[in-house]
Amino acid sequence: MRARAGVLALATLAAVPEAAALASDAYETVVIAPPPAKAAGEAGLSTAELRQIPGAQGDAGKALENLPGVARPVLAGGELVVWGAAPDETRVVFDGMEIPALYHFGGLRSVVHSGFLRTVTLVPGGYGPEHGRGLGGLVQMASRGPPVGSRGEPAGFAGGAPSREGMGTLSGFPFSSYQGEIDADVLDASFAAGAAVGNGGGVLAAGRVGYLDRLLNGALSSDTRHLFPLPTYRDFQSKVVFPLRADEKIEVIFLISSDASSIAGNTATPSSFAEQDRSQSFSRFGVRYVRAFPDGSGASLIPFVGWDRTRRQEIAGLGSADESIASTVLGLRGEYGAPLSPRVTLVAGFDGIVQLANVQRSGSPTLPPREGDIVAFGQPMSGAVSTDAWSASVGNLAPYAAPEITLGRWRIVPSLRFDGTWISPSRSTPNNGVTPRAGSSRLSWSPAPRLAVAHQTGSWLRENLTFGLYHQAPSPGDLSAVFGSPTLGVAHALHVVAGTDVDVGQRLTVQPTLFYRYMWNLVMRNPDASPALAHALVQDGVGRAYGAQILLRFSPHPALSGWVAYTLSRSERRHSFESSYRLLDQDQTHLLTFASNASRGGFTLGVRFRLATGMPRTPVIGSYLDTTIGQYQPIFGQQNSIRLPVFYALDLRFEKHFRRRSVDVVPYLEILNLTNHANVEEFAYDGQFASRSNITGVPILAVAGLSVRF
Amino acid sequence: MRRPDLLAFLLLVGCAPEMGNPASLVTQERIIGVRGDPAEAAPGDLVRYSSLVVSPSGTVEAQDLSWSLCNLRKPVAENTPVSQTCLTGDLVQSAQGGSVSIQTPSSACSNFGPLAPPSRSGTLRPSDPDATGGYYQPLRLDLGTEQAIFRERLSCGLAGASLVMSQEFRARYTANQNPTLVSLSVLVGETPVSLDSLPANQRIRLVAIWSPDSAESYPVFDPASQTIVDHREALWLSWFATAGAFEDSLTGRQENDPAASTENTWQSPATAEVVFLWLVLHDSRGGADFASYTLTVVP
Repeated sequence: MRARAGVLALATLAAVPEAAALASDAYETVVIAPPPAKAAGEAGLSTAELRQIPGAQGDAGKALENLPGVARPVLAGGELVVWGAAPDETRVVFDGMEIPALYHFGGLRSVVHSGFLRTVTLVPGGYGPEHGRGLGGLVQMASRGPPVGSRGEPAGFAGGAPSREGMGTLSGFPFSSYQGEIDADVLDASFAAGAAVGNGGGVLAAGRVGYLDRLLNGALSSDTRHLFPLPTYRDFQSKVVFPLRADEKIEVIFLISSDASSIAGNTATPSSFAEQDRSQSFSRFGVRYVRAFPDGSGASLIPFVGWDRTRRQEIAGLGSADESIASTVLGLRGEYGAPLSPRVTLVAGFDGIVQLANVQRSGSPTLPPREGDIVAFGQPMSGAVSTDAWSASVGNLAPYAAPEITLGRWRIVPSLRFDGTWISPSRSTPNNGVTPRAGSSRLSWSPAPRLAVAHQTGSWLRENLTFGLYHQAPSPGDLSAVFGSPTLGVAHALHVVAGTDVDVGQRLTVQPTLFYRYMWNLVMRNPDASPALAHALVQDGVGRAYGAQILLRFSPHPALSGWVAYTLSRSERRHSFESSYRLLDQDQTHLLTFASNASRGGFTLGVRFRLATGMPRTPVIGSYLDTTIGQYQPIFGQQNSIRLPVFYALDLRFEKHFRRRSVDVVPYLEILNLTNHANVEEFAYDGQFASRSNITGVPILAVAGLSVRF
Repeated sequence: MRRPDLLAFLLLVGCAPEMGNPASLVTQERIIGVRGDPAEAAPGDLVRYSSLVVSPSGTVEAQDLSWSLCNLRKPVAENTPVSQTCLTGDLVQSAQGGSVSIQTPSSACSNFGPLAPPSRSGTLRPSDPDATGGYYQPLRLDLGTEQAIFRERLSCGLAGASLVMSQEFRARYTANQNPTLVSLSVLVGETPVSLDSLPANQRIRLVAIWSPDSAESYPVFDPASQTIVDHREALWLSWFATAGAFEDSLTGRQENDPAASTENTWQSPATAEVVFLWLVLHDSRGGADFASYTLTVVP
């Protein structure tokens, strides 16, 4: 196995990726080593590969949807469902800082510009002890370093092949080199730029402004606008690198993202008035210290602070909802790794975050719907309303240690993480005007043992086995005495993942993987007709997800590469140990993706084919007129017992590179849904819920854009 | 660095679904309106209920209409106005006929109101009011396979309020009264026309007028701010006909709109025929009124 010493052979640095990246700038050695103890099923594709995928419009984060184990999101959904985990069970980490969303509203773009990123890694399950707080998968985004003239990160800003030829120099400025790109297409315009300053220092910045709403508002019919809110979004990222010594640096990292969307339907009639306004913004500011020591050890430390704001106002008939959450986020992550002996290295660290949230909510307790709610598209809301205002602090501090033991062809990482979770809602009972406000506070410790075993059977065959316990604290928004329950605690999951990597020659890799995830203490709505006070949510839910996937990556020619990914899975939930399982709302049995790129003479052709089982839906088996408001309501059959039809789409991407001096001009054209298949995104019903029709997704659609890279 | 040219185009056609028959078109026997007198009742009160049952051949005297009180609470998890079990379960029939009298259960305010149901295992969650502060006792109506729900507004008091606030609320609150439909005007363009001779295949303006006192003012308690806020009822009209097509199945006025009328456009059928038209007026506190008209469409 060929590996870069700074990344793989030195296990210590592998566990401290920031230090590894720093070390890899300095030297590169080819070694034969046992496989890294990575999670089976982990998909770490380069940003360059991800950006070439048709349909992603050059967005590496959006391209994650094509990886095995990732369910196809609904149109305008933007939710990442990984190995049958609900979207809010998967964590997104950017440069060590947890962020609340991977995508902008509608899933049109990810919140970090791909030109700002060095790697995007998806770990669907079984990840190591350095991360937690989520029952599902993990998405890690790592920012790139500034362009360095003489040594350092070689990849171009577009994530392409190493190219120092395109690196410019500016006389009269303190920049030793610079790189950048400017992109524009029908969705948005963006830029990413970086410059080296001095020896090892530099600055990077990237940003994006979406204008799809302004572009399409006048072009779409009012019906379509009512069905699909068009989002407004923007984001900005920056990083300043201060080198201290040859293997020591400080990075100042900033990220801000904001989204808004609004739709309004029939405004004339009180009982059918529909309006929705959503907004979300968040920011993170962190200072990261990274050091790689000459003995192979490394350390990193990043304190960070952030602010999250979400607002959702919705009126649907006589039902309404208004929720706003304003949070301050404080985080600290530190890690140190050192070789203890030639066979053992130890990585230890801590991972802490505190969310201080103020929440105001009024309106229907069932709006917005949660996973497991039975609802038909267009159904009038129940009309019942409540109101509450509360604050909640949810903190998690997790020390961890992971000795990595190399025994011949085996690499074993038995690790232990202790999740200390502090939950403190401000109100234990609803405000009744008389009783003084009384909150509660509790601390729980949840051990999270994990094990990763990797074995190198031969030069062409490796096996991986990982399992571990994972814990997730409740969202502050669920700790209401009216809409949720202040007594909610930590939910748990067990992951078991086994897989192999088979190299068939130099040009074909096959990665079959089996996975099983069992979850308990899941937060669900209280199914009782007469629930206890302050128990609208309960923690009796149980879930399981299991399946198999295979990833076949091929590269028969330097100019031709791609992969085929197939996942067979089933994800189920139940309200309690006594009740029976039903399908997860986002369950998809079959997921098949084929993606390939071929390049010749500056011209690149990308092909993507996707096939996915439709998501489950609850059938409407009858209806009745609610004569009090004059609107029909559905009568539902067995929960999630039918599915949307199978989705399939063929997409193409054409890209041409024109090089003039140090500037690359890259126009591209993507043709989505080439066969114009009418993919059903949702069922819709007539006013009496007597007949069902289909809301279909985008027909054949062409998206063109231009990228200028320098 | 230079600004790029933007080469972009988008081909997008409508993705909105095509729906079936509108709810306003009467093609079979249906229950389309219920009114309770009084419009708001205290537990133990006797309420007179009237129904409006229609069919393609006109208003139906529904002697077989079955009325059943549903005393099952709706779980918080259900996104419907009443428990699904009220529709799918077996209920004891309370009365039968087009117009009936039913006594409001004495436990209505603990089943569906601000009083938590009695329990040995601690305090239970009271029912949530609607946006007008109202609590409702559900009744199920059955006519063959046709089902409907009516929710009788209950006089129950407040949840989560201090004694002072409750007293102030009681002093300011007036029980809901049913709204009153006054008239229907039919116009072609700006010209009034008779119901007996409506032109075929024409866009016809229908203007329904209700009495000025139909939109009552009422106080609503806000538990978050512990204050009482005055509101005015919104009113809306359900339109039903045996032929033709309405522009909207529902039209109305928001609570901040003082107009005492609402207008709809009806595309008359292409051929001469007799069309039955029904209007059901709703107020936001659960009150109702209805009216029937016979329209004659001429060539």
